[in-house]
Amino acid sequence: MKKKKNLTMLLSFCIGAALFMSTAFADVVSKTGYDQLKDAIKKTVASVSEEYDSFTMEMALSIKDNDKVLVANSEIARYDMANSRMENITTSELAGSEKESFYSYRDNWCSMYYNSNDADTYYVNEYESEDKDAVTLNNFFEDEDAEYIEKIFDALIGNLKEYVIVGENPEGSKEFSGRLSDGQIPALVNAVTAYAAKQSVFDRTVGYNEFDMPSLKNDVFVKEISGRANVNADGIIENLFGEFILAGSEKDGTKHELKVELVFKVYNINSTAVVKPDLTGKKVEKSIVHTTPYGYVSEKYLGKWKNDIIIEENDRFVKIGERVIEITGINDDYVYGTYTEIYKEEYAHYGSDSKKYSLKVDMYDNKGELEVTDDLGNVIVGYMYLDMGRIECYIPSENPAEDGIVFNSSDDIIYNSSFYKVFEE
Amino acid sequence: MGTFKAAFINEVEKIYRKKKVVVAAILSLLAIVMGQLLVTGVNKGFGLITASSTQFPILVLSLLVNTILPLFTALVAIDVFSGEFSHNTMKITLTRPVSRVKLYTAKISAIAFFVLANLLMVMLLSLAVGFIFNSVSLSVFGILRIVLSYIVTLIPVMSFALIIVFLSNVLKSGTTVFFLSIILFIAFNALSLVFPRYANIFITSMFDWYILWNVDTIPLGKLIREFFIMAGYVIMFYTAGYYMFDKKDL
Repeated sequence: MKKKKNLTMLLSFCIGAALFMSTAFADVVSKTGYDQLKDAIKKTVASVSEEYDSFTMEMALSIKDNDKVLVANSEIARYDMANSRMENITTSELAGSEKESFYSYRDNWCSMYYNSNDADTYYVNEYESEDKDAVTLNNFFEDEDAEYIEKIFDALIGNLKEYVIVGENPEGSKEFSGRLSDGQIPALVNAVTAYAAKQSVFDRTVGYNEFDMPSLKNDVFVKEISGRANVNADGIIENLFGEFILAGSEKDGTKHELKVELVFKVYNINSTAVVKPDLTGKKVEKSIVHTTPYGYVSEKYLGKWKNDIIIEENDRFVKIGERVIEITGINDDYVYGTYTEIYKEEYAHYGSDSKKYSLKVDMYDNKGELEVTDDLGNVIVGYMYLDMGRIECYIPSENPAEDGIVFNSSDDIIYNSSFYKVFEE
Repeated sequence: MGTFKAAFINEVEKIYRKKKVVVAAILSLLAIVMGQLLVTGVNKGFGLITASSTQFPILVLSLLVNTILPLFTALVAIDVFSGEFSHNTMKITLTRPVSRVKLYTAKISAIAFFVLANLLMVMLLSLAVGFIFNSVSLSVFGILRIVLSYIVTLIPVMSFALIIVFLSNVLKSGTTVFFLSIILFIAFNALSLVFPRYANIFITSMFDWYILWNVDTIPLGKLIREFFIMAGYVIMFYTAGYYMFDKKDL
């Protein structure tokens, strides 16, 4: 009797253990719909950024307020990675304003831009030298932080993963779908999302009112989140559709339902061709883009640059003279010049100890390091930047505030490091 | 069956004579009140609806199931076994004309009864509070979902309780078992965070499996798998616990 009882117990324990082990194993190896969708997204991003020679991507976003369209944006981007060409057609429609469309083209040597509302002018930027990274897509999953962000995201959405339903077709393609209606959205997710939307959109009415965005002030909540995606047999997302409904009421109690819809498609894989537009006979505005740093520094910087020496006197700014920089020479590595101060006669005493300097700027290796040599041959180090149409020059010994004492008396010279070109008129 | 019923009623009586049950009820009530205050505060302060009336009970459940419920389930389970061993009252119970297996089952059923009663009480209260204070979005389907969520939560909580029952039959001191249960609870939670892939092996991560029952298209495969894992736990620890209980000399 006792033996039989022990045997029953042993058997029962073994059944329990077997049940646990087998299903636990099955559970560990099984991939949830969420995991499969994540894999598909990663595969798609990796394929378009690294693998495919050409493809077309389409994206569309629309916002509706109680079925009235507020915003409708769509974008078709064609990538020809093999030939380093891409073009992009964007159409945008805002409630209460005219439909606009933009066209842009880019390759390693130039980029073009065209706006339907802008007198049919093509804006062309030609690169000074080849820009090999002009047509690339980044795989953001390969960023260093991507893994951590993914982990945190996974932990945050927790068991919501179960809402991703996956259906498999016999030829290997998959269909994903998911829907969360208000009772199923966890209170925390709802609160955070609704608050973020309120903060970023509704509480900042300026700039949004141009397309009648209602300002939701009370009872804001996420009413529904849903999505669908089709993944082909290669594991690439062919299309993705997402919908997000936010409900709430305005100050006067008018109820609104804002519906945001998002569509994403990838197609014509390895069969997309991008042709550089032919601009003969079109109105073109051309400009040159300098691709190297300081590539714009040329002989146009030669000559005199100046600013005014100013003091404050009896609550007035008074000009007492000028600081003058003369750029005398530019070569591949250095820019040369001189620095002088010229004072008006009645203020000549201010300039009693003013010096003349010769300047030498290291343009590239040390990015603007300035070697300042005075008449006696003493060398000090400052900085000089040749900005577009302006020179920033900083000579430490000329700055009265240099040793930390800022304008301790009213007739101190006010320091200014910006210099403007002197034009002969 | 008659003896089992008598033993079960007896055990339930014993549980409900304890002060702990009152404390559990008060704390559950407090959790609801705090939850409601928080929701009302956030709603008024930020102009949101964080939880509609059908969401509120689920919000309360998600709080309850990870805090008060496992804690008091552990306390009750320890009382039912270790408590009686240490007070030497187990002898009295065993002198009744009831077999050990029936007594053991009756005790576990009583624990399950406590858990279910606790869950149902919180459900009714939070439903009531939800309807009074939050904007009404009444739907039969929504209420059905709430009832289902609360009832299915019994299964993972009981799986965890059976581990504690087993421990209190192995170890003498109730205090040791209690601290061991707490450590186990924390360790399981930590492990399922560190190894998310293996989370379902650690029973505590299944405390919120009610979410699976809430999905529009119920993921049947996943649901059955999780159920079997818990069933495996239940069978193993029920048997092992009974083996220890049966062998005990008093």
